[in-house]
Amino acid sequence: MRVSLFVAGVLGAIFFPPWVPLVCMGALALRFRAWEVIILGMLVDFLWLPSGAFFGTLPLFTIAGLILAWGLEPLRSEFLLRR
Amino acid sequence: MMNSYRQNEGRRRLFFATIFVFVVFGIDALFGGRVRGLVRAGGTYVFNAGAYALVRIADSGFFSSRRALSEDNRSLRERIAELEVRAAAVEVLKDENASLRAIARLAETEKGITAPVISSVRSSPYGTFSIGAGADDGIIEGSLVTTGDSAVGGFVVGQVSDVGRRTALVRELFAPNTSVAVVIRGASATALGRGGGNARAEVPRGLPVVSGDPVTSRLFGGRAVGVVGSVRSEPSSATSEVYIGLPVNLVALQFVYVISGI
Repeated sequence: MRVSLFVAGVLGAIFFPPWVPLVCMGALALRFRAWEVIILGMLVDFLWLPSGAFFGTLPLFTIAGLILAWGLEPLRSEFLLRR
Repeated sequence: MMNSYRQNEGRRRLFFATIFVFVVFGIDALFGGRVRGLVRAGGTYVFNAGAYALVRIADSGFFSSRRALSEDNRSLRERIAELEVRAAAVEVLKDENASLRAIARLAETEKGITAPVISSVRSSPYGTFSIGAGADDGIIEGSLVTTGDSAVGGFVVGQVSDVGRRTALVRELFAPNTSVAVVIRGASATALGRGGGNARAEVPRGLPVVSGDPVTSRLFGGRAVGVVGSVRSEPSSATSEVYIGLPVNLVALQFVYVISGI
C-alpha cells in the first residue's frame, strides 16, 4: 500500500491535478512514518515550481511534505504505529 | 522493544530524507537549476510515454466506439476554440486598429518560434507548463508565450520562467495569485489571476464594458491577454467586477508561439 500510494503520487504529479499527489501525501503521512511524503513534495516542486528572478515562489509542496511528515508524527505515534 | 526500534529507525529515515531535500535544493541552487532540469526531463519522458501508451491503446480498437465519440468531441471543441479565438481577434482588430498597426509593424520585426506543449497543463499547482523548446532554440527567460503569431490574433498566455537546453517552463499570465496590469476599454485595471487562463478585475462602474471586449496589456506591447467573459455590478458599489478569460482552452493547447527579446 505504501509503495502504491507513492507511485500514485508520482504519476499524479505528472499527469493529474495537484490535489492528487497532495491526497497521496496526506494518506501516506497519516498511515506511515513515510519519508516518501517529503520526496513527493520535492518532486512536485522540481517539476512545476518556477524559479526565475521574477517568478520566485515558495516551494509549497516541499513545505507541505515536511509539515505532514513531521507534524503528524505525534498522531502516528499515539494511534497508528502502536499495535 | 521491537516497536521502539522501528520507531527510531522510521524517525531516522525521515530525518535523513529531510536533510536530503535541503541538500538537493542547495545543489540545485548552486548549479543554476540543473537538478530541476533533470527532474523535468524525466517528467517529460514519463508524460510522453504515457501519452504514447494511451494513443496505442486507443488505436488498438479496444475502445473504438468510445474513442470515435471522444475524437469527435475533441475536434469539435478545438473547432469552437479556434472560432472563438478568431472572433475575439476580430474584436481586437476592430477596437484597436490604430495601435494594432504599430503591433503589426512590431510583429514583422519580432522573431518567434512555434513550440509544442509537452506537459499536462492542469497538473501544476503553480500555473506552469512545459514547452519543447529551450535555450538551443533561442528561448530566454521572460520570452512571451502566445497562442499564435500576434499578426493573426495570438493571445499572450504566459512568460518563460525557466529555460533548459531543449525545454522551458512557462508560467501562465493568469496563474493563481498573480496580478497583471491590463487595459479594458481604455481604462487601466489590475487583473488577479485565478488559474486556467482566467482572471478577475475591477473597473469603474460607469465604464461600458460588455462581454467579448478585448483585454490588452501595455506590459506586453499592447497585445491581447484575454477577453471579457462577464461583468457583474452592484448598485451599491463604485466598481464593476469583470471576469476575464482566454478564448482558447489551455488544456487543449498543443502548440504555442514563443517570442523572445521583448
